[in-house]
Amino acid sequence: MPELSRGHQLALLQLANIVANSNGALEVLEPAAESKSKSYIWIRLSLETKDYRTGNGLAFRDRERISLHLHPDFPFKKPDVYFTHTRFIGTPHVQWGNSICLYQSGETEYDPSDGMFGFFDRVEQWMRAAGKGELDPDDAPLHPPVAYTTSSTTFVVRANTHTGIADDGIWIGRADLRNVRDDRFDLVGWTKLDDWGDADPGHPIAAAVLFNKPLATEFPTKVNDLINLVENAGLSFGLLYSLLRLFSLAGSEEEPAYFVLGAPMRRKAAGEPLRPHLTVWEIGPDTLKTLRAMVRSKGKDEAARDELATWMVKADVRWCDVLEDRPEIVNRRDGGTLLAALSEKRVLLLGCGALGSAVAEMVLRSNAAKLHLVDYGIVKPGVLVRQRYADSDIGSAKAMALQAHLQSIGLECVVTADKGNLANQALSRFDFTEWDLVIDATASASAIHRIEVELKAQSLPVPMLSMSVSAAAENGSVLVKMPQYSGGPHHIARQAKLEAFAKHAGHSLVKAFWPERETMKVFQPEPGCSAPTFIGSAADIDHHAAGLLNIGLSRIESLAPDAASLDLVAASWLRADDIKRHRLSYTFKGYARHSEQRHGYAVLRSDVAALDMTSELKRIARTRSDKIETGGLIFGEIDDAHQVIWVDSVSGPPPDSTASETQFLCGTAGTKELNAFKSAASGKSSRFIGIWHTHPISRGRPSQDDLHAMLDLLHFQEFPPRQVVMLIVGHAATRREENYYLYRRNEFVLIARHEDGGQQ
Amino acid sequence: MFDERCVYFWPVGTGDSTTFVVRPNEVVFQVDLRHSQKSEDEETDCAPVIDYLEEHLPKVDGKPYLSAFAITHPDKDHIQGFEELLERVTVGELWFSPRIFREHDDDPGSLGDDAKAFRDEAHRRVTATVKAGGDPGVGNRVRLVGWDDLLDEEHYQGFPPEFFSMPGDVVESLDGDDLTGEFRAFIHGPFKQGSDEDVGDRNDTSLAMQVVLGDDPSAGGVLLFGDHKYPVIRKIFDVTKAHGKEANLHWQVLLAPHHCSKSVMYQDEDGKEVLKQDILDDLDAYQVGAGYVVASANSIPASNKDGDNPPHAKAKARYQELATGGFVCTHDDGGHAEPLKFTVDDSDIEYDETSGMEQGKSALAAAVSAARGSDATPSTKVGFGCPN
Repeated sequence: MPELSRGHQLALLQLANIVANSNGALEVLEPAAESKSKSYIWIRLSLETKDYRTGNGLAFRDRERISLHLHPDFPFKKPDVYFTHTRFIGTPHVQWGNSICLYQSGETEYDPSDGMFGFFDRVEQWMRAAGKGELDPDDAPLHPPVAYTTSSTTFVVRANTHTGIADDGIWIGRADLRNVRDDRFDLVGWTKLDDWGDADPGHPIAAAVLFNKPLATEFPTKVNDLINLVENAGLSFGLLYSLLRLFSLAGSEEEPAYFVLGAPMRRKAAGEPLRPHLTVWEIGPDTLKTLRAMVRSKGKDEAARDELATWMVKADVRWCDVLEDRPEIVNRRDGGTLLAALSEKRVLLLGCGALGSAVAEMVLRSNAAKLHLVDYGIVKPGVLVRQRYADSDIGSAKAMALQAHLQSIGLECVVTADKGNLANQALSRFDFTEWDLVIDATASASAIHRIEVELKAQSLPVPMLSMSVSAAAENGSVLVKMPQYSGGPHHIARQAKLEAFAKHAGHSLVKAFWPERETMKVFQPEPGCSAPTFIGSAADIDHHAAGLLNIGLSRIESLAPDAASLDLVAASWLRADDIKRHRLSYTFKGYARHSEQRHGYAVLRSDVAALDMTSELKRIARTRSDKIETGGLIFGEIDDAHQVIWVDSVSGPPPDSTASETQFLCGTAGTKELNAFKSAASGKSSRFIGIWHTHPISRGRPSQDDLHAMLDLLHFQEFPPRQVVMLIVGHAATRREENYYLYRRNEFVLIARHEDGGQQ
Repeated sequence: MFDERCVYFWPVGTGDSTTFVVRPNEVVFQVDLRHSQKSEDEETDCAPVIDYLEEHLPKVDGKPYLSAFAITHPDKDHIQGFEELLERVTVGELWFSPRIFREHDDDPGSLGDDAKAFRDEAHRRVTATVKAGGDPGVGNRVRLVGWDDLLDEEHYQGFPPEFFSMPGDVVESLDGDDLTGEFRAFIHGPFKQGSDEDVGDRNDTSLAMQVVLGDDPSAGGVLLFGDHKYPVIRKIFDVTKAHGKEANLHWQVLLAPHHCSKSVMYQDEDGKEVLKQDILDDLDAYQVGAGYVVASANSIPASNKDGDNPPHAKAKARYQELATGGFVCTHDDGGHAEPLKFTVDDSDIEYDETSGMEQGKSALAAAVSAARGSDATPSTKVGFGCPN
């Protein structure tokens, strides 16, 4: 009796429990027999199988002998179970003639903590299904047949077989191959014999026969048996021989030839039609030599004929390892994930730095159709700490180095690269009919600003996702702009900031992304002369890159076409006081877009501001008359860089204001306090920028009084602004229209000089 | 009941009673008998075999007529009720091996009344046959199975050879009828007393044969090995193979020897019970098509204790692994107090399944469930204590 491990003893104990309760259904014939595999033992059992027999499935006898092959690390290694005979050879899920294939995935379906109990539950299910002939019901994927692997050559099957390829009988032709390595071919296409033509295909080929009915589930090991198998499936020996001869002449003298056999024995998912299961038979150079001699002698070379006959009768079939990658039978491992949305998509990636180089590889692996990389930088030694470059890339353009790296992975995605300076030209260099998604991973303010500017003149018809990390790479941010959202990343960040300060002021995430200026620390890797960056490891960056990409993609999936979002995410290992909220999310619609009429600035006005104005118009109409002018202060931001005026909110008339049907005198009472509040509540992003008033029954053109007011504001205040916005709501009582005018202090000075004396 | 070619295995407790309907309503061959008083009570699930035979056998001159009766050995569970049978039924021909009575020569009291009745009747017929110098006619015929030295004995001198068969012979007639093409019995044993093959004990004197209702032994017949155990059955296979007569080992139905005793495939070696896989492999090898193993025995328990008499659960399990058609027991299968019936169609022997397959919860699933245990708290109080 072999030495029993702790695992073996546990197995035998559990087994004894089952046997004791089985009323004779399970019997141990030999509890621990030596195995040729070191430290393993065999347990010989007899199982009552009478009740499993139904006449439709496996022809069980009343009892069947089974053997368990037990690893010493049971229960952590699941037992293997075998019939002790080969009566069920050729049956699905009985492999190698006697090995019972119990689990599709032992890793997930076998539970070590349930040990023999769960295992025998599974045996029971298997036997019952086998007895009913339901091991491969129509509504389940098929278990692939078994072919023994004896050749060292591997085939990776990339190309789908044509739909209905074997519906009309046996399909005969060639498999088009790509020689990837000495010991590996990729099967990349199928060409029917009729479509072959005379031209040399220019690449390696293999003979291919796709049958229209299933073959045995276990492929033969002897050439003779293989010939019988295909003959029974309808391919005459004559035709098989012709193909062998034909292909013997196609390859080189020293190389083996390959024969692809397919039969409809695979199914990707429930209810799907059967697809060919492919096996590849390798025919050695010596046999080919004999075949060639036969061809050249027109069959008269007797020695060759004898040799060939011997080969056919005695030789073993050399099966190649076939690794499937055909979409028609392989379920992608990322199916249904967020990243799977990028399958077949064309992605533009801006920035190939820390986040960008990580994101690029994820996009590539998602089965994207195209990926274009843009980065102006070169690879510096320090970036190897966290960017996906090699020492040999140092000094090279990042975009090109990353392109080479991605191409070496060898996926189908077309990767292109461009060393473009995004600060100079960002989106406007692309034709967006060719792209489906923009990912901005530049984390560059100048690139963001360039995009914002360009988006004023050009719409972006595809979603854009922009990601960055905070200083020390502790937190990540990802914003998403949907195609119809008016405004770019800068705009989104600003809107998000207003919301963040309104809702979560003081949260560590808000502080991290909108820090007080004095608290900001700049990290310069080469102090004194290098661009500032952040501190963060490869682990930090990969964590954020992956998480932010997924969050961004989930947003794209759920946001309305005119919406945008910003998500701030804290690394899960951080220990801030408010860490209970690892993520702050903001989604919003864009501001209404208007045009400023004097300088061509864009005006982006929030819905809140419009509501505020509506309230005031109703109030004045109710309390006095809709013919009475009214107005108040405008809070927002004038962004000269992007030539945008943000109108975030408006106030009603300060209490000391006066108004009539022709005039609105905007008071000052409480306005200083209100402005301070607005500023603080927005992280200084929204402040006083001008005054609004109404023209109840006339157009919203500036009147003399209005111009006087501007002059007054810009020149005669204690602390006058540099520029001020005037919003005149024309026809306020009837068909309200917003007219925005930006006045600058220097403009009045110019007018005063020109007019010289004073009409103004 | 006897209107088609078939074989019946009667539920007679742990004992044998086998009926071959060779020619419907005409030629019926009975091997062994066990008819107990108990079986006449309708409450029991034993069949009153003689009642059935009397009712269903063809009538000759107004009396039920059994063409032939063979005894494998004279133990009670193989011959009980014979005396009554003789009274109620005309038995055309008796088959026996004189050797089966030799064991009792020193102790005549060890023979039961029915065995004695058989022996006396057989001896009467031997005397009549010798006297006739040939066929003594219906009711007097007897077939001797033995070795040529038997005929040297005083009582058997002058016994006509046409009624004498040796192991290795084929018999194709019953009660004077030539049944070539319809009936074929190949005699496997007993082995010659004192010979190399004579390896067993008293039970090993049993008559052993292959019965084919047809003429092709290779198509598989019914193997009847009486109460033989592993050593003799091993010898039967070896000797038959050595003589190139393997066809006579082919079976579609195997009557589990000695009422499903594990002694067929387990042997005591150095105090340890050892499985003799070789005999199972041989039995499997000579199985034709979907063979059946029949246990003529009381209901087979799920397990046995040491020293239990047959039937043995272990033997059943081994036969279950072996029989492609299945394993059936006269008291576990078939209808209440009704025989298991195998009909013969050309050379195919098919089991007439009277009850459907039971498809309840599998024993394995139930075993796993019971073994895994429940996570419920105790349903009764559980006391704990500490020593005073």
